Formats: sequence, structure tokens, C-alpha cells
Amino acid sequence: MSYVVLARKWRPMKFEDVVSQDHVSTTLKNAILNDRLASAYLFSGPRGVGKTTTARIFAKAVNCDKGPTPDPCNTCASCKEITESRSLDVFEIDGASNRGIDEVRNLRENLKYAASKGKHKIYIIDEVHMLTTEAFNALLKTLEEPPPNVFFIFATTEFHKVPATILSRCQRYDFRRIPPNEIAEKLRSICDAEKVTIDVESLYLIARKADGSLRDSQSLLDQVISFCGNEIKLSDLTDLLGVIDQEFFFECSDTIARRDVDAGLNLVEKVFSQGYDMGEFLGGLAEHFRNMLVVKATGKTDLLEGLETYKKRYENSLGTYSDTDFLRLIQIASDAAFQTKRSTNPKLMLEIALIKMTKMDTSVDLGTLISSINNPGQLPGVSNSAAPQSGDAPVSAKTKATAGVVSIRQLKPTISEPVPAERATAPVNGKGNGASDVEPLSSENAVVSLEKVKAEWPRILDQVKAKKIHLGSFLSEGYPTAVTDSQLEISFGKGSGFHLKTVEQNRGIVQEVVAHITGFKLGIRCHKNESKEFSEAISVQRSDTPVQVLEATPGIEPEQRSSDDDVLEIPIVKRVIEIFDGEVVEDRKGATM
Amino acid sequence: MPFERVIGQQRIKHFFERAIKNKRLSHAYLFVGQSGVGKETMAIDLARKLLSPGGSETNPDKRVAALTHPDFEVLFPAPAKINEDERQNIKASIVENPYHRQQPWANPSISIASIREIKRKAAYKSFEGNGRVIVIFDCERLTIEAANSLLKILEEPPDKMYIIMTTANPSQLLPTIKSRCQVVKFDPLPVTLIEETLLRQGFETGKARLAARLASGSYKRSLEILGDDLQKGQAAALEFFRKSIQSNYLQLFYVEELMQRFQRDLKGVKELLSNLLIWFRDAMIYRESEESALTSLIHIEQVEVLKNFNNNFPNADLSGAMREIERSLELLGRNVQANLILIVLLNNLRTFVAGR
Repeated sequence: MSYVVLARKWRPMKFEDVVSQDHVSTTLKNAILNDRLASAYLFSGPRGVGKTTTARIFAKAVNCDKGPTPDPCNTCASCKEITESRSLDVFEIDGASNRGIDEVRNLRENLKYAASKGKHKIYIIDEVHMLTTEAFNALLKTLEEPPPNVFFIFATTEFHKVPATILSRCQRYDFRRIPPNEIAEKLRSICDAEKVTIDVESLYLIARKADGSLRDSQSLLDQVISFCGNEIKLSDLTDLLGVIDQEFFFECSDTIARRDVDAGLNLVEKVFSQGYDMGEFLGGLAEHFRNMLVVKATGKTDLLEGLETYKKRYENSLGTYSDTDFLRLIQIASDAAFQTKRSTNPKLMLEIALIKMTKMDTSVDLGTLISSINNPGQLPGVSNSAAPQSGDAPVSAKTKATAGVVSIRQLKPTISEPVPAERATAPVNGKGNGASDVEPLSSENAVVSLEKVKAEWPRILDQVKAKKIHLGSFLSEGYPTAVTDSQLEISFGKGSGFHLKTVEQNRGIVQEVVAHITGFKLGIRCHKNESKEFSEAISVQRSDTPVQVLEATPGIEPEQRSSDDDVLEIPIVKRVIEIFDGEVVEDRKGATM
Repeated sequence: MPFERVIGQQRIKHFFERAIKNKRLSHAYLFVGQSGVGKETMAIDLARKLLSPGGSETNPDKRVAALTHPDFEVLFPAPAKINEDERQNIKASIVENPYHRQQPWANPSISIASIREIKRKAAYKSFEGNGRVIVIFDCERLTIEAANSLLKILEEPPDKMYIIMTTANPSQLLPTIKSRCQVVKFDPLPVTLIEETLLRQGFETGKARLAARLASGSYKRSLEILGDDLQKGQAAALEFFRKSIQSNYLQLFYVEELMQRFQRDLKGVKELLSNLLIWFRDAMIYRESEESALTSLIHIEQVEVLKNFNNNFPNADLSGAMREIERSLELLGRNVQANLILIVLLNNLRTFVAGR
């Protein structure tokens, strides 16, 4: 007798031995006890969870010499015959090979004869989803009203391919995927019986690899035993099963963090020559980044499963990535994993994915920018623009750092300013050190100089842009011209009426940013200044450093004003300007009048 | 030495030696790995071992390798209407060198009839009493019906019957098939090993080096590459790329010319696109890595062209272009008209090359 694989050798003989399908076993046992058996059953569920096994146990239970019993004896002639699959009353039909209407007709022919030896005839049709439509339909009548003492049991992995008319005539039982710990438990008992020593980690590795199927796990165990002999070590196992060493993932994330393309390509070569599946590697890499993200986001390592030895490494290797960076890395990795499945050259896909990740930084900024348009101020990636609302709000490490930067930049313009006494002594509420310069936002009579706002103007623009990109560009058409009564006046030049309006509509955001950067809460007032000098001054401003700003609105050239004013007096022109928010570009008197 | 025809794969040889020694052979194996790494050779050699037990190491049964052993059966994908001559041709190619099995069809399959035949035979005892071995090449090509009808016998075959299946695309297999087999993974062969093997067979050093590198771990592929004119393939790919930047109506003529050249042979088109893919890969590596580290380039002799390309199109969306080529290759596999695919690809490449 040649070797029998574990999955066959350890096929359960009793309902109790079927792992993790109690909902089915109990129901069937009770049905047998109470003599409430249906004539047709349909067992469905993923591969290797016990459908065919349960069907055979059921057959034994019904036909056992000790009468229909929930606990077949496995010793009587009938039980033995069924075990050796030579019983004349239990027909185990391979539905995939005997799928035509002829086979079904044949089956119906034979139905009318009584059971030869036992009490019942049992038809087990495995892989029933492969029957043809005609075959299914030919079964319908029989299935609804079968001769007495005949049972049908259908087993299938794909019950959705079974017609509804069949389904409605059967009692359907869904078999569940088996959780890893129950698989591990079962494997443990098999190993004990086979006198094989195996450690817990290896057991769980096999159980996880099996993906809920007991037969898969037994096939794997078989393979491992024939490779390692009677002593199984984790290292042999990872080698045999092609489980990718966690070290590879750490190396990968390191090279990505170092922005080292060449090292990345070498790593691909290494991964490839070790024979790992590229798709699997990318999937594992996504998982790795997920772990990093979890550690980063929660600050704990509790949620990492089965990686006890690597928890410390994860804590130490987070690098400078933000949460959104990790999300993007995961996105790239899982996209590439999906593509490799269909690609003709998987290695190339991995190379591309790695290069993409290594060169990712700019694209991340764009990504966060785009999303920041959609929901301003809510993104962790743009954390430096998220203004601390009040002094005692919890400040994350990152905002603390930026606050420090703010204060340093603020020093320059404020030195020339006479510092109000109360500002110097203002209490620092919960802000990080170095942020002492920032005034509590609520102070009402605080004054900020125009110079200071001007000096900070480019930064204000940047931050407004980060929050709402279009608002930023509109705002850049204007320029701060005065600060009065805690109101900041922003002037807009000729031809920017639309810009002014948009800024006015969104003044809340501008206000917030100004408050964050200067430390003062200022109202925003928009003002239109159509003089030539102002536009010129502004264009100088934009190209030059903010410190060179002159007084924004000096005298206005009388000539131009008069001519402009003349036109503006005409009622129709007035209306037009009002409706379209327009400007007078050229005044050609001869043509209009 | 056992399994001497298989190149490399020490781990797997070791695994089977142990399994045979410990008498723990499973009745069903699934060999997984890209094409040309020795799965089929291993399967035949394993069959030879199984069918001639009792230390016939010195005098192995030649009938297995010659595919004439009565208890040995090889199934390979073929079109439904294949005549006996063609079948014999394929078998002859397997006998000659299992690494180089001919597969001239686009979408061959293994039918339910051949599986039924196997099941019929399985009901009888084997001729010589040493059991029976069935080898199924490219088992992802089993039709749905055939695969399902294999399930029962795969799980509980008669005594001393072994089924060995090989596949390069395990994801296309039914999960129910996979779960019934012991899965043995074949690694890609190291570049150096392929190079050595090629050198031993008397190929030139330079050619062997390039072929080994291009083959991405497949011995079979390296042989195929040596059969082609490498420079010509690369030149054709470059020409294709240059045409993609030209105006539309010229492209039409060019595609027409290409179709004439390939004579409806999809393999030529596929090769062209694969070469193009490699070219873009080189371009990407050239752009992204340091001057000093250009050893990862496959076509190192093309550095000047790459440099020009990089200067002219610094913003080219290379990964987008590669995705597009991949997609075209996929469409080719699905029997979309080749000339339409090429025209669309030419057009799209231009936008990708122009920049994001």
C-alpha cells in the first residue's frame, strides 16, 4: 500500500471530528435523532472545509447497522463498506464527470429498486455545480418527491451555479471557513499522532497559509513533513513555503526612505532570484506599510499580529513619512500587485513600483494639495496650516515644530517694531517652547503693524494656497495696504474685481491663516484700488521681496482719474460695471458718443 | 545523479529525494513556476523514478523519457481538432528536450475527453505493476469541465497512481484543484547558471551573457532569444517607438507594413512589444538612477540613444507608457485585431512620451 496523504488518512469518521462546522453537525444529528430527515441536502462552502466528509458521515449514520444514529459505529459492515467506498447503497457520483442528462436518466432508472443491503439508498453528488441545465431539470421531479428511503446529498463549492429550482427543493447548509486557531489545533493533534514535533509558530504559519481550508493545511503539513522529516523548524518552513522574509520588507522600506534607486533595483534582483512571487511580494510590502502606518497612527504596536519579534523594529523604522505618505505607498504597492497578476513581466512591474515609491515625494505634495481643495484644513499632511485653535488645544509634535519656525521668522520684522508691553509678557498657553512669540489669538486690543503683515504676506499666500488653491491665486492679486481697528485692508488692483469678490466670500479662511501666522485676529476688508501706481507697486511687490513695499496708495495721477471718472458718470456705463463687475479699460469718447 | 536533466533547482531535487526515501510521496503534485525553469523536465524525471523503483539508478527506464511507457501518460494543451501527426510532433519535441516543448497554438486547451480517458484507464491495474503516472502540462489550460471532472480522482486516486501537474499561472487554476495537490514552487534560474549552461553548450560568451540576462530566469526563454536576432529585435522596437512620434497617416502605412512582415503571426507582434517594454524599462532606469550605476540596464550598448531620449523628452510618462504596452499585450492575448491594437498604441505612446 503506498503512502496515503494526511488529508485522506485523517478524514473524520464522526460528526464530532468535523472541525468548526458545529452548526451543520448539530442540526444533522438532531434531525437523525428526531427522525426529521429531509430527502435532499445541499452542502456548500469553500474548498477543504468538510462537505464531502460530512456527506459520507451522514450516509454512515443513516445506514449504520445500529439504526439511524447520530453516532455511526464505524465498525459494522455497512459503515466499513462506506469507508472503503464499495457500498452498494451509497452512490458517490462525480457530478463533474457525469454531468449530462443521460447520466441523470440512468440514475432515475435505478431509483426505483430498493436498497440492496442497508435501509436507505444515498446518492452523494459531488461538484454538483457542473451538471448541465438539462441534467438539473431532469432531476427536479425526482428531487421533489423521491421514492421513500432515498436521500440526495449535493456538495458544491459554487452554489450560485445551481439553479434556484434545485435550491428550493433542498435543505441548504453553508460550511464555514475554518479559523486559523482551530486549524492549528487540529494540526497539532495530527502531529502528535504522527509523532512529529513542531513549534507553535510553524503551526500558525501553516494555518494562516491555508486560508481557512483544512485540506490545504494538511497538504502543506504533508509537504513540510516529507521535506523536514519528523522535526519541523520554522526556518525550513519559510524556505519551503516561499514565505517572504520580513527582513526583505524592512530593507525595501529603508531603500525607499533613503531614495536610493540603485539599491532598490538590486533588491528586486535579489527578491527575484530567490524565486518569490512578485505579486506576493508587493502584497506583503503593502501589508508592511500598513503595519508602519498602524504604528505611526496609533503610536502602539498592539495591533501587529504575529510579528512579536519585529515590533521594536517597526517603532524604530518609521522614518520621516507622514500618514498620507504611507497611504500612498500602500496604494502604489497594492495597485502594482494587482497589475503583476496579469502582467507578462512581473519583475518589471516590481521595478517600476519601487522606482515610483522612491521618487514619490513630489507626487505626494500634489495629492495632498488636491485633497486639500476638497476639505480644507482637515488633512494631517498639511498639518502646518492647521492652526492651533486655542492655546490649550493639544499640539502634536509636528505643529510644535512649525510653531517654532514661525517664531523665528517673526523675529525679524518685529525687532524694528515697538513691542507692546503686554505682548512681551503674554502668557504662553500650552504651546511648545519657542512659540512664546505668538500672541494668544483672542486678545482684542492687540495691534499688529502693517509692516509685519507685509513681511509675512508670501507665507500667508502659501498657506491660503495650501488650504484652497484657487483662493490663494485670487488673493495673490491683492496686497495688504492698511491695518486699522484690527481690520486688515487688502487692496486689489485694476481688473481684479472678480478676485476681490472671491476673496471676500472666503474671508474666513484668510482670516484664520493671518491669525495663525501673525498671531493676531484681524478682520479682513477688501478694497479696490484702481490707480496705476498701485498696480505697478503690486507687480513690483510680487517680483520682489516684501520688505521693499512702499506705501501702497500714494497720490493718484489727476489726468487719468478725471478721464476715468467722466466715463463712470454715464448711467449706462455705471450699470454695466455694476452688473458685470467690470472695469473701464479704454475710453474712446468719439466712438461712444 | 538523479534528476540530472534538470538545471539547478537543488532544493526541489533534494525535496523529492527525501520524499522518495521516506516513502512520503503524495499522489498529486502541482509544479508552479514561470515557463522554462524545469517543471516539465522534473515531472518526467520524477515519473521515471516512480515507474522504475528498486535501484534502477544505473539503468533508468528509457521508455519514460521516450514517452512510450505503457503506464505513463502525458497530457498537453492542444486545439480540439488536432491530427495525430501534429500530436506526434509535439511528443517528439518533448522527447528531444523537455525544456523546449513546442506550443504553436494561441489558445489550446485540455479537454474533458482526455480526462475521462484517464479515469477509464485508472480503473484497471497498471501494466507493469509499478503504478501509473499522469503528467499534465500547463494544467491551467484544462477546460472548466475537465478541471472539475479531475477533482474526484485527484483527491482519491486508486492505489499507486500519481498525478503531476505543471502550471505557470496558478492564479488561473480552480482553488479546488490547488487544494488537492502539494504545491511545489520552482524558482527562476540564476542568471549565472543560465549563462554557464549556455556556454557549456558552445554559445559565444557575449551572446550567452545577453541572452541569460534577457531571459529573466528562464532557460527556455534564453534558448529562444539566442534563436532570434537580438539586434534586429531591438532595432524594430526602436523604429516602432520613433514612428509613434510621427504624424498619423504615416503610422497607418507603418502598421500595414508591420502586419505584412508578421504575416498574421501574433508571436512577432508580441515580441516587438516585449522588446519595446524592455526599452522603456531601460529608459526609466536611465532617468532615475545615477550615471555610475547603469549596470542594471539590459541594453547597455544603447546608452547614447537613451541619453538623447532623456534630453528630448524629460517629462515623458514612462510608467504610463509601459502600462499601455502591457495592456496591448493583454489585448493581443484576447484575440483583438493586432493592427487596431498597434494603431491605438502608437497614438497613445505619443501622448505619454510628450509628458504628463
